[in-house]
Amino acid sequence: MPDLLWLVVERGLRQVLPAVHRLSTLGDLSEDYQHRRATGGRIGASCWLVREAWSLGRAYRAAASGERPSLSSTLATDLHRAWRRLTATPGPAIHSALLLAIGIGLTTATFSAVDAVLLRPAPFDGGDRLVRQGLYEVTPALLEAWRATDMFEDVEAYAGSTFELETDLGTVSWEGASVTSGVFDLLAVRPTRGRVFQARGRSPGEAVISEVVWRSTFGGDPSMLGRRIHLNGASVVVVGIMPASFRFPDSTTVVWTPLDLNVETPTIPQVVGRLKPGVPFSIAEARIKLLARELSRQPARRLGSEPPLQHLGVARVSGFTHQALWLLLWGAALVFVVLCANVSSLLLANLSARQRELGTCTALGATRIRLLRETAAEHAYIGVVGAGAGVALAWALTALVPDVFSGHTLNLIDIDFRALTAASVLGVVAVILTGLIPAWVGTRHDAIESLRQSPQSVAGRRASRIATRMLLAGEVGLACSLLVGSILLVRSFAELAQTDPGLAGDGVIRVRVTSLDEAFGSPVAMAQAIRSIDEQLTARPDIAEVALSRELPPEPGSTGLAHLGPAGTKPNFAASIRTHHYRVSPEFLPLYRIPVVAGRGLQSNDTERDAVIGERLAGLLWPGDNPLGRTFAVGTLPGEHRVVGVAAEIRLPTIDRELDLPEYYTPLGSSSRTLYANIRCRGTCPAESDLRDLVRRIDPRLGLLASTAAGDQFLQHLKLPQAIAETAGLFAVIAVVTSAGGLFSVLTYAVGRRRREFGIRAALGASPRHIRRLVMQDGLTVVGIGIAAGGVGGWMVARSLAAFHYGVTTTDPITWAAVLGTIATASLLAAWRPARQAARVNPVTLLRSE
Amino acid sequence: VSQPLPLLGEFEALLLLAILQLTEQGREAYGSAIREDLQQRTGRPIPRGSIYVTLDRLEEKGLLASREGGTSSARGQRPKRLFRVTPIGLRAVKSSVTALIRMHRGLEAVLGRV
Repeated sequence: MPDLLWLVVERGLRQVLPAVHRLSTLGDLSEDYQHRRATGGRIGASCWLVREAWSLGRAYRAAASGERPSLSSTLATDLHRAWRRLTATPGPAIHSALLLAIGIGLTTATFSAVDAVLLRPAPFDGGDRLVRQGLYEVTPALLEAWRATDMFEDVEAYAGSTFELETDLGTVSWEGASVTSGVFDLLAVRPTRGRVFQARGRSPGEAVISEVVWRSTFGGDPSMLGRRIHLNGASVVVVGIMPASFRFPDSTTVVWTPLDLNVETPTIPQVVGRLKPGVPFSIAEARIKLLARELSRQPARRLGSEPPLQHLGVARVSGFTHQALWLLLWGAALVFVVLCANVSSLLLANLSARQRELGTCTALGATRIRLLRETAAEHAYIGVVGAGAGVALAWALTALVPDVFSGHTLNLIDIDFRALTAASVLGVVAVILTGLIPAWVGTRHDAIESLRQSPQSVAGRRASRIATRMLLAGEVGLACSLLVGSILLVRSFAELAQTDPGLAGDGVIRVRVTSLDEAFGSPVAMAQAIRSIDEQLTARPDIAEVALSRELPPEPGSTGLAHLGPAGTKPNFAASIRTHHYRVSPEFLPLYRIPVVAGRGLQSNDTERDAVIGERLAGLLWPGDNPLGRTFAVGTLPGEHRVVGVAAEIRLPTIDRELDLPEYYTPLGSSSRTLYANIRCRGTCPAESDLRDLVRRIDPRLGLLASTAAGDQFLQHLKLPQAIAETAGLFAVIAVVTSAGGLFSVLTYAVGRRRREFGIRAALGASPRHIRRLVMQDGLTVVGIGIAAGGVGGWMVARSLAAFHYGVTTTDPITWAAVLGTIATASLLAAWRPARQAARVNPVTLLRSE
Repeated sequence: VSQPLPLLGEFEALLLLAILQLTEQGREAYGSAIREDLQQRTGRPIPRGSIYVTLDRLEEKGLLASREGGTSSARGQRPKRLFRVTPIGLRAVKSSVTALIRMHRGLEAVLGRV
């Protein structure tokens, strides 16, 4: 029987032993092995054989590697040399790594925001299978129809709302939601204390609160479970406390009550479901669309243009915010490319300065591959340090992501695995982008040529010169494009902030009277109460004017489709106009100083059919005609509105054209769940507590919430455009400063290398002015090409940003003048010092030093 | 002009001496035998790898020569590689040993008789 161990050993050694003596060496081993087996036993001999074979193999491998270094040792040598070179002159490397870190940091942070808001699954177990729907109102029938599709493990419903929680210290407002009992199981979350709602319909009068509410409002009261609290005027029992990290359906939700689909809720209920494993999203989406079409014969309210099925993780942000986030990510990517180009030109300039050293290496026998390898090792260090510092920067930046973006997602905006992957990919891309061109161009050397010339006289090889200038021109072009985009955004924001809203909100405070419907069952009683509130407020000496309303600009009113067709029929969509509807008391228009331009304002004896319309709606419905006395219908609502007056248009402070719609006003009506009192004060405004006492005197069940002042509310709306403008502005500043810095360093290098040439020119009679012009020309040619490219790029950027423009156009002359001015000034500043240095070269000193 | 003798390391000198010993005794000087002789006389274990690598090196330097010898079933019919010391090798080993003896002279009081 052949000895298996021997066969293995022999096979292994065949790879290592030199062919010429292989047989005899193996013969010796075999002879000794047989001897061992015969005398020392099989196991001992086997161990001995392995040991001997190992010794042989190692000795021959070591002998062989003495002649040809292994890959790992080559790599180690390259890295070691690169490290020594970098630490000897760390300046350019640190500069490059810093620029890369800024690029990677900005891009990673922006990516984290986009990822958390738009891409990542919801932060629940199996979050990628959680979907929600927002097209049709949920009825018990719809829920059953979804369940019957057999695509879902579970289907539940929820409706977001705001809860006023009454405590000893006053009323606190918390965002909450009514949810069906299975929602918590569907999301696979458990309460930290107590329990969640019991199966369908068995938990009325119960509430679950978040640990956040428990700690902040109730001071972490240990006897919280079973305690009664007052939510929206109703008494409920707290049965469970959810972990502080749990937020659903919105990032601000902290209170939950049971949802009964047969009772009307303040907001429209929506469906959330967990897909069965293996059910593709696209299939589910298609089937739900079909289902929705079948169910559309039942009464349903459309909720806008959201897709019928959405991943739960995808934030419910407007298309506008969605677009803005992607836009900023593109902006960050552009900045990243600018920084990479900058690092690339820096490295190239640095390599050109080392031409003599590289030439010496080539003369001593270093191959180009070897030089490339060593250069690559240097760049790898810069890339790793840059990526590391970039991650740290990104981590710091995520804390600064504006609320207008982070407030919309259930996910935390953090540097998670995906962001780290993105950062690493960026690091690798950066190293390739920045290192490849310099390494390729910079290591191309004619050894003899570079040694024959003195280092100062090497006027930069053509290839390296052209590559550096092209990189710079590209950089200037990108910076130019970014600058065009960001100046347009900043100008849009400024225009928006200065736009006359069409109403005078300064000095007006707003309070919200709550629990009206809980306090007064009948419309008559409610109308009576509303009248009392109005009268008592007006009677106060510190209040000059009072107006009541159900909606408050700049919050959009209830939206509807105004049309001229007969009331109660389905309107022709194309001939309809989306409008905001504000239900207000007659004092509303005078209080906000909204002028009535035709007809009259609302009067106390007007019915709900009488309407005052905005100028824009009048122009759209009856262009060029007198609208007074004409009628229009809204949606499928029965009855028509009769126009009694035309009011000046009000402008909502938004760039999003979807939101600033034409408006019309109708009388308040008798029944209302929410009621706002708009108060223009005489001197100092009354305290909130005084106003609360006032409404409590009318009925003790009534509550009162302070709302933000009208002026502040307008400012709130400016936050998104402001955030976009600020971020884009920051990107542009970085790009411009970097480009100018890049131009400065490259010109300084170039001047350093051409000192001898300048010296000779000076000796031959060239004036300092002439030499200065030479350098300036070099720099400004690059900038000129950059601006030409940037003009085209900028125009494209401006066009793609059209949706974000407000009061400016793509060809806005001020923007373009500002861009050209900024780039030209920055370039002149950057080229000035190198040019002056060149002009100051003294031929005598130069010759002495040679 | 006499060619300068290559310098020998300690292990190289020991190997050459072992081969000379085997040849003098009329035994075959091949890998296994050389190693066994060395281990016996020096009383220390010698790694197999270093024997063969050093033998190759000495042959390369021209201090050793080798030829194919007989075979056996225990060797799996693989031939032996028989070594002999070349004249240069002989001179080199002689010079190394002489140097050692000279260096030893006068140190009997310290090192004792060897």
